[in-house]
Amino acid sequence: MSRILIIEDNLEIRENLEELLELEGYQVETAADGQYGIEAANAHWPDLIICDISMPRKDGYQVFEALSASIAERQTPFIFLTASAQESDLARGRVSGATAYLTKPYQPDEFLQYLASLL
Amino acid sequence: MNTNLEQFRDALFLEATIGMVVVDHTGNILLANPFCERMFGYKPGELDGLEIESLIPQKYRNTHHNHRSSFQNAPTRREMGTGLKLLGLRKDESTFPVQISLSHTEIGQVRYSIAYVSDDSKRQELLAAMDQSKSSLDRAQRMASIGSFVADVDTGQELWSAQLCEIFDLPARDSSFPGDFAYQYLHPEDREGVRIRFQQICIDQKSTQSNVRIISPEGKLKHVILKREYIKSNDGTSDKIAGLVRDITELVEARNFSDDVSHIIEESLNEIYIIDAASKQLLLVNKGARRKLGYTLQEMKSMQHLKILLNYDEQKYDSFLSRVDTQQQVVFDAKHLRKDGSSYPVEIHLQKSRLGLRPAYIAIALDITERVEYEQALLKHADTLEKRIFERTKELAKSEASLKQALSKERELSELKSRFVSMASHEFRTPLTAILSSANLIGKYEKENQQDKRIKHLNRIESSVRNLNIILNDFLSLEKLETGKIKAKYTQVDIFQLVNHIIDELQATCKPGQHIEHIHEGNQLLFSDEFLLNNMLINLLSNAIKYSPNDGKIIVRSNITDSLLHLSVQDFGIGIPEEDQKHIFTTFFRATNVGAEQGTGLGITIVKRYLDLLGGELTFKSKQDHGTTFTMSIPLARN
Repeated sequence: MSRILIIEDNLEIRENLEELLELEGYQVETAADGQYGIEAANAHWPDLIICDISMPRKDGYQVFEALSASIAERQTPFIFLTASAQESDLARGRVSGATAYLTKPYQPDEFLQYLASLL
Repeated sequence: MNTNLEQFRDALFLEATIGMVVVDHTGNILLANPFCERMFGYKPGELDGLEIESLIPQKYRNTHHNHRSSFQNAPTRREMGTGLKLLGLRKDESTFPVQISLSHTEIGQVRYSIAYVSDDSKRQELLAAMDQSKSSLDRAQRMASIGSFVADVDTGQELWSAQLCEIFDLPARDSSFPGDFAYQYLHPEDREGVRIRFQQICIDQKSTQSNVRIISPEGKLKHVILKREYIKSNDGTSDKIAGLVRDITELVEARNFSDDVSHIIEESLNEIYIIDAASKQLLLVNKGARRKLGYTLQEMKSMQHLKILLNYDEQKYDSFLSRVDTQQQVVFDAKHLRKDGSSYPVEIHLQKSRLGLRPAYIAIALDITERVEYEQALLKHADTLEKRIFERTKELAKSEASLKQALSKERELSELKSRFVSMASHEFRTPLTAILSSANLIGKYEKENQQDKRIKHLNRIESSVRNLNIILNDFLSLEKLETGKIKAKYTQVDIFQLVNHIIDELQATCKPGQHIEHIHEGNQLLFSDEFLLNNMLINLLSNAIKYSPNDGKIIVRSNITDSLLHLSVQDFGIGIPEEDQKHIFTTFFRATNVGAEQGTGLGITIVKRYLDLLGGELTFKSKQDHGTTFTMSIPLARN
């Protein structure tokens, strides 16, 4: 089964997402900020990464930057999931090189379908 | 006797000092005497048989030929070529002036012409010399504007020089006039005097001199000096009167002009001073100046020019003079000091000049009292104008400043609003995400034994909604505050009760193990706005809970002094990093160490605005990782 890494600082959102994915049968790892996220990915490379943007220590863009070589090499889907939904945020996200830039709140079933299509 | 006579006749011919030449009817020379031969440079007998035209320059020969023929036909005794300058041609081809007279004779019915030729060179030279001296005299007379005449005492006839004619504007040549000719051209007032003096001189024979005015044929007035001298004849001819006439019109006019100028200067209303360049004393001062200053001419002569200049020392005065030396003219304003000690403003034009041979300065002063008064009025006007402009500018600057302030306030507000929207968008999305996913998960836990999961997510939804409500309230409060909709409403408040009530209310939001203590001192009752106190305390306590760890203690202190209510909230949480402390009152600012804790960055701003409404102050003490204390100090309202 595919392994998914969730990098998200908000406890409720992280836990809920983790629960949703596990119920779908995915193997899930979580990290509570950007720095942990980079370490977790490097320690055990996932099949897909879901990453928040506004986080302590390292933000989502820094995480993507740090992991971009491996992401490119392994063709790993990288999804931003963020509450930053201003027009300027979206514009930045579109050019970031990530697979998708999705805004909160997300619709759980649609989100799960999308993940399934990527894996 | 006959022989003797013939000898004499030969002698007459041979020894004559006039050239004689006999020409036959064909124009050939029959006979020339030795004087003639010598005159023309020929040897004895050499002329005999030559054509007479040999003795005439080539270019006159044809004409002579014709004259000779007509003379042959009708011979008379006469001078040849009267009024013409006749020229003879020598053997060596040089020419010389000759005088010739002609006669004729007939011998045996043959007509012979006889010419008497004399060399005219000497006489011509003399005439030329006379001409020259005459023209020099004319030139001299012309240059000196002096004409001359000679009058015959007996006949009165006068002989005028060319220059004299010119003085009278008559055609300039030596002319002879009858004695009373000149009178018509004399000024009527002067005629009689001239006539009387003429008669006088004829009697007493003494020289006279007089000034006479001439009115020329063109009506021009001329001034002349007439000098006459009696010349007694010693050769039996009549006595003469020699006269010299000198044209002094220019001199007289110049003198008249200078008199006029002097008069104009003297009478000028401007003050005119002539100053000796060496001594700087006044040499001349016109009437205008004397009248203005109140001095007499006597008093002003030899006075130092500097003495009439108010507030001028020698150094300043000399500097103007030296400027005149380099700049031709200097114009400056000064004050003239009157004899009576009063003064008036003048504009002085100072320039270099001469009085005779003496270097001098001319100062012309114009009274500028009116101008100065006008200028001062103008200045005063300009001054008030300037003041008014200054005041207007100040007012304008003030209104501009308030406009700017309003504008910057407006801009601040608009920026705040845009950040507000951005923050609201972000802050609302987070709890909504939790709610949406929890709700979805509840739907997935269908089994009986999954009740705990369902409850967990229901609680999560509940807390997210509460969180949403707090955020919403924050935004609404701020919006109301910014638009001035919130006003303090004073009622009696029991602070002890109020604090305890809030603590009870917030207990539910505390993290595991956290507890809130309340310490109160002093009075419990005060006049204040209960709603504002309530909100401020909730804000500070929510922060304390949020930024304290599990099991953390929070202390609320309330105490009422004579004039103030102190209300403080102390936690032992993460604290505020030192470098963040200066930004803590900035709207939307959140410390760098807040981690994943949700927040709008509005709490402290709202507390501060509420305190403003109550006239209170907010202070804090904080150390990172040790905790923070916020203290509100609120003045007690008098009932």
